[in-house]
Amino acid sequence: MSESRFKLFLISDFTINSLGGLLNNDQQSPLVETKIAGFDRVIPTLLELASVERGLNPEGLIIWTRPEKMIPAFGNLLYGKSVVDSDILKEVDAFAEYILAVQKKVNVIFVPSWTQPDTRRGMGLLDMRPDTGIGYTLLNMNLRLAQRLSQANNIYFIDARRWIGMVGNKATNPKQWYAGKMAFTNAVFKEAVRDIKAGLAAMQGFSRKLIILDLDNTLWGGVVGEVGWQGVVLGGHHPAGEAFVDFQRMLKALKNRGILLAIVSKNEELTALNAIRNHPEMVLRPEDFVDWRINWSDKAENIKNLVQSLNLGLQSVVFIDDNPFERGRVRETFPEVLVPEWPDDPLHYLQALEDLNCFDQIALTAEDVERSAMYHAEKIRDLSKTQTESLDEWLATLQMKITLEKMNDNNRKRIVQLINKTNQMNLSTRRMTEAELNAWLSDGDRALWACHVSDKYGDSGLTGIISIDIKDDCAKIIDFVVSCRVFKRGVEETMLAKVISYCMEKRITCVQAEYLPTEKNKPCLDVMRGSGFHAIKEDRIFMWNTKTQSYTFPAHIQIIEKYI
Amino acid sequence: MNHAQMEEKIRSIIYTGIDAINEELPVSSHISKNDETVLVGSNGAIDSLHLINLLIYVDDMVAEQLNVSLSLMNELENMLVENGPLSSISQFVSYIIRLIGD
Repeated sequence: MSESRFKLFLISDFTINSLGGLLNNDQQSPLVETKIAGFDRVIPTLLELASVERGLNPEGLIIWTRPEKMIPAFGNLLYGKSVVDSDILKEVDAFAEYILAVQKKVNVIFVPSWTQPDTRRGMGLLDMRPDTGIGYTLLNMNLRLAQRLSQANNIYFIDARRWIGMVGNKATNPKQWYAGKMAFTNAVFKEAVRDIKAGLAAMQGFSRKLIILDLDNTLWGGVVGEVGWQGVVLGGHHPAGEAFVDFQRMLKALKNRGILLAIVSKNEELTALNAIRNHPEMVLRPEDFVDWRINWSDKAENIKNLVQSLNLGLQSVVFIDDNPFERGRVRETFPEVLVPEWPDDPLHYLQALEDLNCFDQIALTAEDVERSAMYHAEKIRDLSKTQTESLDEWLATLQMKITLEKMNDNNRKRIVQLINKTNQMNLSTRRMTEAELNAWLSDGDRALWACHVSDKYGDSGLTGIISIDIKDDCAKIIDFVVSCRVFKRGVEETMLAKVISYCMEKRITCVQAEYLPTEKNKPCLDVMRGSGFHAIKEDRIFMWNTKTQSYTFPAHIQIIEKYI
Repeated sequence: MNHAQMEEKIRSIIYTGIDAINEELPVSSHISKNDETVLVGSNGAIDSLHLINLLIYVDDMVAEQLNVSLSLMNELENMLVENGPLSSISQFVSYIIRLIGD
């Protein structure tokens, strides 16, 4: 089955057809189909979109404009007229309002920041002065627009300056402008495609979640088994040493925004861990890694084993190794794993890491920040499991608490993130933006519960969602999503019990769940098969009759219901 | 550089320009890289926007690689005549060589 294409509408005051063509032809998921609005009809197009029913509009917009065109007062300033700051900002606010007016009509809007050609020196020495400077005014306009647009969670104001900077003095070509009103060359559009596709991938849950790292000549220079941790190249007054430290700092920054780090290395475990623990210039310490396989076994096997133990899919993984043989081996064994070509020179490691556009997030939630700590708690939990005789006995020792709550302003972002990122324990794998979910919930007789899980080892955060759509006498479970972090501990049963008790209160007699199979959500089928629901239609539909049977909440879990 | 070498050089520049255009087109509309390809005309392979891009690309590359300024956009009107320089890639190559010679 061919992948459906995300429909993007490009609105611009310059010729933007090349960006459309490049987006259409980019083969990285998600695939895109673009349409181009009439040339230089930015405001009329936005007004038209605002007046059209949501479903008739494209899924996303790119609104890329030139500041001198959209903000006439800035145009005046550019050509030497005296303009008051507040007049410019008033026009920026008015432009933002046009964009905000279409926010609810589409899933996502990308607005590249306003730029000027690098060749334009503006006011020279005075260009960054608040009273006269063109450069200063442009920064101020972008800041104002970014602030105004941040009111909407589905509008992403993105940095076009970076695209231009990447391309350098070939970012614009006066011949293209005068002959075809093309404000940028294709090299700039190609950079834009990378960022826009990364954003769309994040929205649809394709971002990578785990970086698996080699050690020798990847996190530090040299072979620790030969030179000892005191002898490896790391930090100090040494170009490569400093580069390894900077590389580790960037990895730590990724970890702090929710990307997991792990190690797969051919080494003696004790020797390697000694280096990580004791080297004074190590930025990453053992607690920064969610797991490791440090031994002499095949790396592909180790990766498989490690990823399974974390309950993640291979498509979530990036593998970084300086050794081309190991990279080739892993790439060949697991095509789903992203194995970037890696520079020979460690001075380029940081740049190579920053160049990976696979870690984008649509929001940063508390769960992201705490993710590594949650996995550590999970390791301790697993250890305790092996020391207990039976699963039930172990579950009873956990002192689990589940807080059930409706969607609210505090949990909305995390709910959307979980719906879009979860692949395995996901009944329907429907992907939705915040605006779509809001619209869906407010339409008809529908309900959604978010599930916050904690136990004596720590807080796993908001890790489950279940939603229903009630029609006549039957509630259909639409979303049934559980993070792999809390899987198989009674969370799934608690959520089903909640839905059934809710339906019994409302005298709804039938609860139905339709399992929509994907390549990755077989674990959800296993849960439904073991749920006690009656399976029909070859395990696609699962039914529960609330007239004849209630559903028991797991005894080992304390349920706390929040009614907001 | 003799005539054959010059011809090869210009053809290679045009083909690279076509590669860049094909990056934006659906596979079914790709412009084929051979001497007979009609660029502009009743069976023309290229739309106006991509024609501009191609001419500018050739202009820039000839300036960069051969240090000759052509200003093809100023010649556009002359090029769009029936059976003119854009009626095939081979005609286009010959036309560029002629302009360089001038």
